[in-house]
Amino acid sequence: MGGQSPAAAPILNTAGVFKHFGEVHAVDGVDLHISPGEVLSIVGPNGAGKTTLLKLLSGGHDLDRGQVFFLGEDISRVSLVQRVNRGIVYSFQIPALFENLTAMEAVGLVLLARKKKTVVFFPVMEKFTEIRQEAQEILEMFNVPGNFPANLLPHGQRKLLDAAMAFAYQPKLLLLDEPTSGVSTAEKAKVMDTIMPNIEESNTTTVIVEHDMEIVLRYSRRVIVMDQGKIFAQGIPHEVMEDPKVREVLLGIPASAKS
Amino acid sequence: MLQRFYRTAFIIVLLILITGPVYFPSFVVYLLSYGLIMAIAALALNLLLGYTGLMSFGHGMFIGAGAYTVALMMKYTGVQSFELLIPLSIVVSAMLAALAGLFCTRQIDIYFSMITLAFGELLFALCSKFYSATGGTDGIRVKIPTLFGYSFPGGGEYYYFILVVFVVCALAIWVICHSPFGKAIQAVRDNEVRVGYLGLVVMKYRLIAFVISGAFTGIAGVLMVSLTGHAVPESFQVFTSITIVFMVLLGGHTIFLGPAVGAIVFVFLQAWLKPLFFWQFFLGGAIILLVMFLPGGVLGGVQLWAAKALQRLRS
Repeated sequence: MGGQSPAAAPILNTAGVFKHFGEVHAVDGVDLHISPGEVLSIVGPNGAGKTTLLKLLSGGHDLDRGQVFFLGEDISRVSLVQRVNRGIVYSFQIPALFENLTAMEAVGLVLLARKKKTVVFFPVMEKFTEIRQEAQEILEMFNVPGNFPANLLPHGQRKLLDAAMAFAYQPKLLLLDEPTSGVSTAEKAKVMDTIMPNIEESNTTTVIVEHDMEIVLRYSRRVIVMDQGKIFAQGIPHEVMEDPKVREVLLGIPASAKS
Repeated sequence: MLQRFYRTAFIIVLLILITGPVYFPSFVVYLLSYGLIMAIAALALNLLLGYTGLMSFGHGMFIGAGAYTVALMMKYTGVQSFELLIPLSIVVSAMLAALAGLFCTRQIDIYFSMITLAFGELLFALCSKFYSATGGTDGIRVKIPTLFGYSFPGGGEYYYFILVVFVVCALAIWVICHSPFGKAIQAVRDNEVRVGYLGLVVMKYRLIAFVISGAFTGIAGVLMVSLTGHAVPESFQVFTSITIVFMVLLGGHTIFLGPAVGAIVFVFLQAWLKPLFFWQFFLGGAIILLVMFLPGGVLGGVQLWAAKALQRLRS
């Protein structure tokens, strides 16, 4: 898993990626290297550029400068939709769901999209038993009830449904944007304990943007610390967290202060 | 229990529709015919409005397209059978929808609505100015087409044909709304950003929905011109379009059959109020009251009432 040497052929890498919003340098020259099968965390304070970086990888934002390579191919100018079709799938920080569709229909729709069966007018969705079964399995893996419309689900399950929708696409690269944001501290571990075994079992290469250090330490083998649009530090989580400079960036504790 | 109530109500309404011509006076049969035709258009529009989340102010253009396909074919080629005219008008309205859709489905919200409106007005202008071909504002007189050689003698028989076409169209639209494509357009309505993240091109789904909706509305145009016996440029116009929008909202756009109920209620309301002096005033008033007190439309109101009545029965 995680500890491959950086020399291994990357599934995705970037070269000097920039994204500026007016005066704000959201992503300011980032070089990434993601190995197949690894679970990488990106941490950093608010506004460090984590979500923007993830959106540059997914195609949600166009980049200003630099290059993104996926399986060795330059995809810098490839559209969001095309990137999804190639297997780069993003899960939203604030759940982006189909509020009036049931969880079953939403996951079913993802499966149909993956199988290129969405421009099908007949028969009705209930008749696609294989799709229903597969959707049912995925919903059970993510612990989401299938027969309620998304707008009736509590927040924790909305987060899980968002992740399940991304996972159902069988991505080659899964981008999870703060899977536990807005979830109570007590429930965070529960959400992660639901999501992570599925990722590990399927050996899905995953990038997790996270705020919570506990989660990073527990669930990923490699961490990247971002600050002000740049990579500040990277390495094995508990080693990186020991670095006083990292603690200053992440926790606001001055490096000079001894704890 | 509630399911049983709906099923019973549905069967009763269907029985009334089937047996109606036996005991209703002919003008009621005429109104029912008119209502069922508009019901096809309203269900078709709701595929866009309720299911895809796009408000079209230009669906009159498909009524017009269907009507003028019939009128022009009859006038210039002598073709006058439903079995040819209906498929032909489906093709014409679908092509018109594809053309208009290329412009308007790039836009969303009010811009989409405005461009559909503009297309309707454009066709209205074209139709009323080309006097030599279309008869201008005088329109073209049309008689009821034949069906496999059978010519309809009058109201009752033609009514049954309309009823059959309505049932077929309603079933087809229902299946489409519940098919994978139907779920995809509902996803577009609920969250078009996420649809992109499923690897689907949002505009494609809007365009296809627009074409399907236009094609079904074109069928309504064929039946309409055969009923009224007169193709007029006004059918392209915004007043026709708004009427269909209103029928959808009146019946309830969140329930599949809502728009059909809205169309029939509207037609009867209009006929009932028309003898009154300044009838539009009363129609407007009725509309305001309905929107205020029945925001879910007539069918939404029935649903609410049935649920409450059931609760009272239980307690």
